[in-house]
Amino acid sequence: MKFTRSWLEEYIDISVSTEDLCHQLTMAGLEVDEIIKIDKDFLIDVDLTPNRSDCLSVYGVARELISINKSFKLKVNKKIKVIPNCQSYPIKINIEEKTVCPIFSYMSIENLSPSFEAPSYITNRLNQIGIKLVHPIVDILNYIMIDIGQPMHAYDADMINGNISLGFSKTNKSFKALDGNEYKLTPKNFIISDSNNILSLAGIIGAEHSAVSKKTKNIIIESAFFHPDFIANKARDLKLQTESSHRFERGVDFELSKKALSKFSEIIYINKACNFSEIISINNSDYLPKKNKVQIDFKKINEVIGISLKNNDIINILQSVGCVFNKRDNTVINPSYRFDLNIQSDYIEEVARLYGYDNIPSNRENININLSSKYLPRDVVSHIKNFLYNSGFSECINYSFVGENELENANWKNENFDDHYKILNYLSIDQIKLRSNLTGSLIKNIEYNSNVNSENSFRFFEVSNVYGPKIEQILTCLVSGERHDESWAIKSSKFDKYDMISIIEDIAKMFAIEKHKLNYSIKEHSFNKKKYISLSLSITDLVDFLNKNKNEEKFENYSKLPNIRRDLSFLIDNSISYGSLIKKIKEINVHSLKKILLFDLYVGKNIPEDKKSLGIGFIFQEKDKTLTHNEVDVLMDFIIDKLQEKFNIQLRK
Amino acid sequence: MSVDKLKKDINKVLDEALKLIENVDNYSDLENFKVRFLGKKSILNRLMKSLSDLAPEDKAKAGKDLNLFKKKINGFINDKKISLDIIADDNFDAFDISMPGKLSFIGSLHPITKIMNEAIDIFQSLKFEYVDGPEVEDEFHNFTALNIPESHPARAMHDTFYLENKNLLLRTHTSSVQIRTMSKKKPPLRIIAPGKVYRKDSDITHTPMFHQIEGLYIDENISFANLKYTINIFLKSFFGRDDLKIRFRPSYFPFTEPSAEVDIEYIDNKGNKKWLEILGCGMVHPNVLTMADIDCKKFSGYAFGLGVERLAMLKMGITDLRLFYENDLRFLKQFQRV
Repeated sequence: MKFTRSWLEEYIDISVSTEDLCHQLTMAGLEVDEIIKIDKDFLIDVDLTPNRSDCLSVYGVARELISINKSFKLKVNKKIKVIPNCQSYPIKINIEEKTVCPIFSYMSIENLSPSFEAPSYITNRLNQIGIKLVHPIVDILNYIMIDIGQPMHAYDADMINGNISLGFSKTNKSFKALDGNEYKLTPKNFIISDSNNILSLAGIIGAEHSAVSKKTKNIIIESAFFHPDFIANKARDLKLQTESSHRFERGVDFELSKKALSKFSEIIYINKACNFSEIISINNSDYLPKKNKVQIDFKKINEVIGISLKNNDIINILQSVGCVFNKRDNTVINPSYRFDLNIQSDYIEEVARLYGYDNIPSNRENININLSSKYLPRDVVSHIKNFLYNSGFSECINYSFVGENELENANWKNENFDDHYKILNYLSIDQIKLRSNLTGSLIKNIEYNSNVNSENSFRFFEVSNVYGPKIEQILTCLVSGERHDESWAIKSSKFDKYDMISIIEDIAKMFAIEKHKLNYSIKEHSFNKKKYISLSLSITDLVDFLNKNKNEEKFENYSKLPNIRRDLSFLIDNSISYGSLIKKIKEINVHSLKKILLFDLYVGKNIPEDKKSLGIGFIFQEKDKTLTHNEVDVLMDFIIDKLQEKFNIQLRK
Repeated sequence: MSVDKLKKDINKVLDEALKLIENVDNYSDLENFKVRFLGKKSILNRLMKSLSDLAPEDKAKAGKDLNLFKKKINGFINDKKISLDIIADDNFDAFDISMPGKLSFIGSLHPITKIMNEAIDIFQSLKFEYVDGPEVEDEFHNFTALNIPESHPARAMHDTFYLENKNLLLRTHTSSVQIRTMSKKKPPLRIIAPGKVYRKDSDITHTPMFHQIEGLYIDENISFANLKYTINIFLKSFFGRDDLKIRFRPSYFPFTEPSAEVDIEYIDNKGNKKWLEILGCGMVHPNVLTMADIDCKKFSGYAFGLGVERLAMLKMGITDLRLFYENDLRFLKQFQRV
């Protein structure tokens, strides 16, 4: 809502600076967006919340200021006596839906001179607040709308055929509006029509056909009340917004309908523009929005705000915004211009607002809450993020939606599925569905960075919900290029899948879970000639598992006796996995074998093609006695025998 | 020359060396010291040569003494080197403390994660409980139960992302978690719910996905004054400034009444003091409580919603919202601090 200080001063005397004035408005909930100095005046732009339609006029803002601060006084403007000098256009108005339009007022003007111009104070003010000048009569109507808040419409009376009726559109006709656009109507649209044509979309926009133009001589001026419930969203559905629809969908004071026409008569009369008729008003007051009678609980008002006002102070505040308070039964009735005062909470807000949020104390509450145990998902995610951060990974956050591309054709476990979560009204084609994996997004992140950065070692991760056959939270780590940032001390080497095994093993250790109980996958991807390695882990499953298997961290006594290590190098078939080898060694069940570690893996030169060479360290220790070398040698021989028997290993020297 | 004589000489030289080494305070003096006692023309070399004059049985004994001497001198040098290394002089071929390390193992956490963690930690210290809610929501939890009527503009297709054929949408605010929590637990309730939210908007100041932290407290006798306390203490802790200027300004949200927007004072790059909107809050609307089956005569409460990006931009001096989702390492690597 834009207006100038001088326009506001038509209604009230302002003794404070514009800055101070705007501060008072802002602190009462009428946030001033901008103050622009123009000549000796100021243009003020207020960002109104949708509940305050009563302030969508200069008069409304003045009225609000008086309730904010008693030092502002309303000016009394002289009434001008006007004498109508023509007959009203002979027309019958038939209102089919009185609930939508309980009040319909109109008047007509005749013999408008083509040379008539709207008074300069009107055109200047409209210019200042950025409203386009259209036609002298329309300009006056727009001026009155901004001035007191009533939207009106001017019809070229000579273009109207027969009687006028107001009702819902009966067909899905299209309608050519005065903005030059064609709109397709639905039975939800409330229209005003004559016997042949639609004259206007009620409260929103008039038709091109009956709009006033330079040639127009005779005009019918409409000033009606349309119920907000039936106007709301109708303009938006047609991708349209007008000053009129903006006001009607939020609520226009129904007492303005005749006042606005009187104001119009005065302007026409003073400027001797043309002949004008008296005002005719069809008023079905039974259908008007009911004023609400609300019981006031003074104690509750004080409690909710956290203050202790006397009953009279509260009553004074309510009366200052135009409410009628009945002391006999402690009830309050809202004024016709306040559509937002319906229940006690609405009045609590008024009291808080006008008492001043700044004056409300800041009081600590007595918290009466038993905190349940820590929230596991957040802890798990936090620990994993910090671990990855300490392992040189950078965290990314990508949009949850992705386009239709090859990276998104399967979920994170590489399972194909059809039932994607697709967005009906997507913004762009690269945001049409919810992603089922994070790998695709992270590949794009690395691609982007390798284009703009000189680095060639990338370690990224993201934690997010994914939407595959199951909605779950997952972690994906994606690496590409060199294992390390360039270093003077470390030979360059490429990432491989084994790097990801270390990560998953460390995560397993963090939560004291065996690796195979984690739901994870390690994959190699190639995209645009670049290789990537991903590790994905279901956080949801991890959290479930941890919830079901709560184990405290406990200390276990360890042996202080020395241990003995024996290393073994041997050739084994390539097809035998390390896991199955270790499983076999564990099955041999040598009690004093405490730890097995892999210290070497070699394939290639000097070794048969179908073999690999493994170097495995065996560490022996007992809790209660010191092992001798002889004892360990016997155990080693036993293990070697078993391995030769099972896997046909060949020892190397 | 006798073995005894040799030993005497050695001890004399050692005494001398001990005195000299004490005065060495740089690498070049140390180098001179080394040359003097161990070099080609050194005393050691001279004494070595005199070994040939000795009888064979004495030779071995003298040789041992000389080796011991050499060890001692080397010991002096090494000790001195360590103490000089600590002082670190670049002119000497030794450990260079100014070299880069072999490898760095620090990645980075996304600024959104860091800001969320900071905020959550403060709220947890104020005894708010952490809860999660789904990002894919239905109209009831995102709108209806929050007193947002059918005709509200937010429900229009141009503000909210709807999903195909599923009667579902992407939540437009974390306030939906209020409803989910109230349906599961009865008051007193004191929760925060951080997470991603979605709005169909994309320009310089809007991204279609962003982050919020929702707070809700419901109990008997909760007042707007309590809300002010919580918000004041949160903002002051978060920005680490006890003198932070905060103002509550009346506003409008369908699910709270009275509602407020909270501004903090900041100084822009021209040095002007300005108010900047930082969060929205208010007393939970009785319709919301009633719909959640909570007796609004007995209970009252407050709710608030924080924009995480806004907090991050303000605290970290980030001026372009879009940077958050480009995931450019030049941006991400600036957030390496713990």
